[in-house]
Amino acid sequence: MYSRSPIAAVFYRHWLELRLQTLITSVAVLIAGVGYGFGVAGTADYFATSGNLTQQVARYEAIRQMGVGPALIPAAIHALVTAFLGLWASASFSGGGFGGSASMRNSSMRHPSAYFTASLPMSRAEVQLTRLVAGFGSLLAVLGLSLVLHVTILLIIRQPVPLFVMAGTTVMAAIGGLGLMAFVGLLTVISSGVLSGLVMYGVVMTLWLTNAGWDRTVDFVQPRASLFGAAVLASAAMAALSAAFARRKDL
Amino acid sequence: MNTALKVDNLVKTYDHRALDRMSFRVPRGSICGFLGPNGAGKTTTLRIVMGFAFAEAGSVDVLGGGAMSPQLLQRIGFVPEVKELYPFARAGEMIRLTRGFYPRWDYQLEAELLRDFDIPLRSWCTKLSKGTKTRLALLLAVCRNADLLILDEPTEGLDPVASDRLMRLLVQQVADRQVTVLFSTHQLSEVEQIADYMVMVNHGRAVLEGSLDEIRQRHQRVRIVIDNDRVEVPAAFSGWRRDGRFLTGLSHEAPAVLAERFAAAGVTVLDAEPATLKEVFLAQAEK
Repeated sequence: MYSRSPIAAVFYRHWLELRLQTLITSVAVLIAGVGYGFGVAGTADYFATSGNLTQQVARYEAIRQMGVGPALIPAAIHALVTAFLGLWASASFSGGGFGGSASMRNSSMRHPSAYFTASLPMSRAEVQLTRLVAGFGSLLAVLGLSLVLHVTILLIIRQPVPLFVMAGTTVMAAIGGLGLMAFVGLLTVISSGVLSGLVMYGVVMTLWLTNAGWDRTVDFVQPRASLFGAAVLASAAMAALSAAFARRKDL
Repeated sequence: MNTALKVDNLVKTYDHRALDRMSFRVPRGSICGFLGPNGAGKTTTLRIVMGFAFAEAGSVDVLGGGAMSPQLLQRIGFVPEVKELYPFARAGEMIRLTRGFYPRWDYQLEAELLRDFDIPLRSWCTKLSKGTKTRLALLLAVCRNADLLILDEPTEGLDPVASDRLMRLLVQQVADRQVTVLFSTHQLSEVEQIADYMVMVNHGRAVLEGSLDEIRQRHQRVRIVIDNDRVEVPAAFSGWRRDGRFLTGLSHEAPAVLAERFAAAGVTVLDAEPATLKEVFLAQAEK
């Protein structure tokens, strides 16, 4: 992993920071993949026999409009799993580059290793932006793993594979996760690590545990170009703002 | 003076005035001891020099390149006051990671220090003892082959053997490569052992600066005997202690000048000899 390029070196630093969370999340993806198989098979049977499909179709309007037909259930359950995974993974992978990741922060303002990072020949903006890119890379990797696993499981259990819709859902979850990570990165710059950690977990818990939050999350991950564009723009704006604040903030 | 570091009138306020027009120079190729009591402003100054914090007023010039920048950081080795490294990395990974940022990395020195400092490469940084963390932080700073080493209390937590190894290493770096070293410390013996230049700070400003020889020459420990209670002690005569008719203190005036000054008041200068660094430090810290 040795390199003389500062960019390669800084990504190596971020990889060291993210590898444990990436490993844990990958294991979770594998476990969720098994659950996905059981879920699709069982739910498909249930909806086929109960006639309860109309209610579910209403919930996944954007997916339905993509004409998935009999593949609605696999696509909808993939959306559910991906929404959950996207939130969890982006919370785990978020961070500002000057200390541990959000989930590893202690009660101090910043981890003292921030001074080591700041003594490296990189600007703070470079550290922050590359950290966001690295976090996004890890998020893409685990969501990609999840997609491949779900498609494989659908093929094994001989269910229809709405690949285009599932890939779109994965991309939307990744972009939503990028937005959440950019938001946490911005909070980390303008406030303390503790506060940004609390706000991040507050946001994630609100999305997970409240009906309205969860409905919005599931709604978000259904592929739509307008939402995709808005999320990318918002993420870019927050990342740029973080870089601007980082230039003049005392560590 | 060819300076490696120039600090001019830095002002910084937290809940109190941490730096109050801090100014000093560090000559290129020198080993500069940065001394002062706790809370004097040493760490705040170093943080501003490194670009970790920003001053409300004043300026810093590092290696002739102005304020700290990523380009200048390529030429700086730094050890902070708190020597914590990444909790998510092993010692060996910290070394690999740091190497990647510095094209001039000194592999030979790394091998020597790994042997001398006995750093367990496979241990997680969080599991290292305080002394080992310090040794690792020093290795990461020194092997960068930097032009300027800024070390905030570098021997804190080191045993005497490792501390002595570090002192010898710093002298060797200056002799071999004309590195400039600025190190803050509370250990006067370390300054006397290796420094050739010294900046003493108190209450957020530099109160004494110069080569060690100069400072020693400028400060005399003078003992006088007085016959008259109304004798006024000159301003140049600081940190004095009275014991009956005898008065002992430091002066930065030559003994002959003092003798002449006191003669009129009927005071006799008994003796004068160069002050120790400790006496100078204590006199400045008491002000």
